[in-house]
Amino acid sequence: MKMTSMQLLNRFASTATLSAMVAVAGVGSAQAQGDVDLSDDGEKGNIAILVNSLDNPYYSAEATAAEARAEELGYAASTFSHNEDLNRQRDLITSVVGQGVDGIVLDNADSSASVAAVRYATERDVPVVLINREIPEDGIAIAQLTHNNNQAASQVAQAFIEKVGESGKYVELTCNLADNNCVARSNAYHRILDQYPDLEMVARQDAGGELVKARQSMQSILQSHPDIVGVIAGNGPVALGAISALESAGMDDVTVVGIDGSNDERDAVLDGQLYATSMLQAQELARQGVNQLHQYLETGETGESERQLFRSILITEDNAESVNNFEYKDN
Amino acid sequence: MSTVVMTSGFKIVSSEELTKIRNEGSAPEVDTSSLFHDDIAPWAISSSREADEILSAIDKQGFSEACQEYGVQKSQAFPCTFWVKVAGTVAAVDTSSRVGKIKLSSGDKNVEILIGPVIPDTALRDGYPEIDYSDFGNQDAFANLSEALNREAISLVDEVEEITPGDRVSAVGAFSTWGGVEDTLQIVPVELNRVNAE
Repeated sequence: MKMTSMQLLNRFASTATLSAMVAVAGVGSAQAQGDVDLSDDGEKGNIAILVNSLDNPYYSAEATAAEARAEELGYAASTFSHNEDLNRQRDLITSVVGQGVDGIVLDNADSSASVAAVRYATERDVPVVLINREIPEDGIAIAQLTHNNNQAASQVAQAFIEKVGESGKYVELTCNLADNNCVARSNAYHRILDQYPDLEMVARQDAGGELVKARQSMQSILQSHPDIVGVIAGNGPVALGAISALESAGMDDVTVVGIDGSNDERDAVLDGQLYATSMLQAQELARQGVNQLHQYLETGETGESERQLFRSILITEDNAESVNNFEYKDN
Repeated sequence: MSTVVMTSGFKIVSSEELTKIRNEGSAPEVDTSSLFHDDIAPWAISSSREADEILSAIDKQGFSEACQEYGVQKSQAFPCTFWVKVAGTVAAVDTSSRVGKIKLSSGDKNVEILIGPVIPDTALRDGYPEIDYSDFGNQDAFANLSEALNREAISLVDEVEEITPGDRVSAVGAFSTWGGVEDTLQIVPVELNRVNAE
């Protein structure tokens, strides 16, 4: 059964509320006092895991997987959320370094502006592994693991063309153009789609990666462009926001594609509302980040190139059942 | 329209802004023509195997072992790329899509040589062992290299006298796969010849 637009929004709101409660329980009390307490030392030491908002299922999955892997390896793991706030990120890193953390796994708040924060830790002999977002400088972090956003967007763009054909009007809703990953996705979409002169992008808006903003954007765009055949979205929440607006407008024949591969997207694919998405292997990326930090702490090197890409997996109705919490189980 | 956008809390991104964002960051200067003609093509031609040999190896040894022995897979982030030689009679030249193809009658599998103007594939970049993502440091530069190499492949095709159904052709190229070949082998060429034109 298809979800209505209100069901989509309600489900998102529930997820956000639950995640926010988790964030408060795990992080908020210490941060509210401007202080951060690391967990008690583990057998191997102490690792801090810093991610963006835990309201977002992607970051929540990433943090949970990293923490579980660190504990499996014998570390005490503490997870903190910087909420994409550079000041908060700086304070968190300063605090955990001051408390003698052994290593940091960081999904940073801003690719370029995070260089100084990473350098602060490494200059104090605290190794940092970056996951998801890279920084533009080499030799500071011990490893930079990121999703192959170009591959993700390229395969989604090809699926989009296979569905809508090589002509028609479409809309792009980007995720957050302050995030290099989002820029890479947009570029990759256009690297494919712009080679089809009869596919016309009639509107592009930055929806900030958020469902509600995407819904608002889509609603206003539809007033001027009710004849579109498709929407390309920079991430999952944006795709779901577009679907919600299209649903409200009674337009169920518009092809929507996205990138992320959350459970909500999986369900939307299975419901026939989202044509395709590309699942980012958030849990595996996070586990590998912890593995490499562990390897570095044990041996002084990771044994891998600093910059490493991770494959994303195209999800359509044929394989959507294999997606669970940013993990792909191909049985 | 802009008033609606401002009061709704989101913003329009102009083409100029996006171009500026896209151009941020630096990447190594690469002469893609030289890379294609002087490095990749000669290496690929000498390294390639008959397509039937590769397909047989995948069938008999399994995909992973065949990839290890005959293919190039730089990491789990990339598909396995095989460099193959193909030859056969042209059954059709399909330009109904911008992903143009020369379809060959050759063996059990369908063989298609991608001829553009769109080649949605990164096999040339990913199948050449000397190209490493770490040397680029940003995904756009890495993707641009792939696109430039594909343009070289299209130029190569354009230089061949028009190919029509019934012609015999031979080619060397790359095909990439995550787990084997189902019905069709699609290759991106680094060499293409009309056999009966000689």
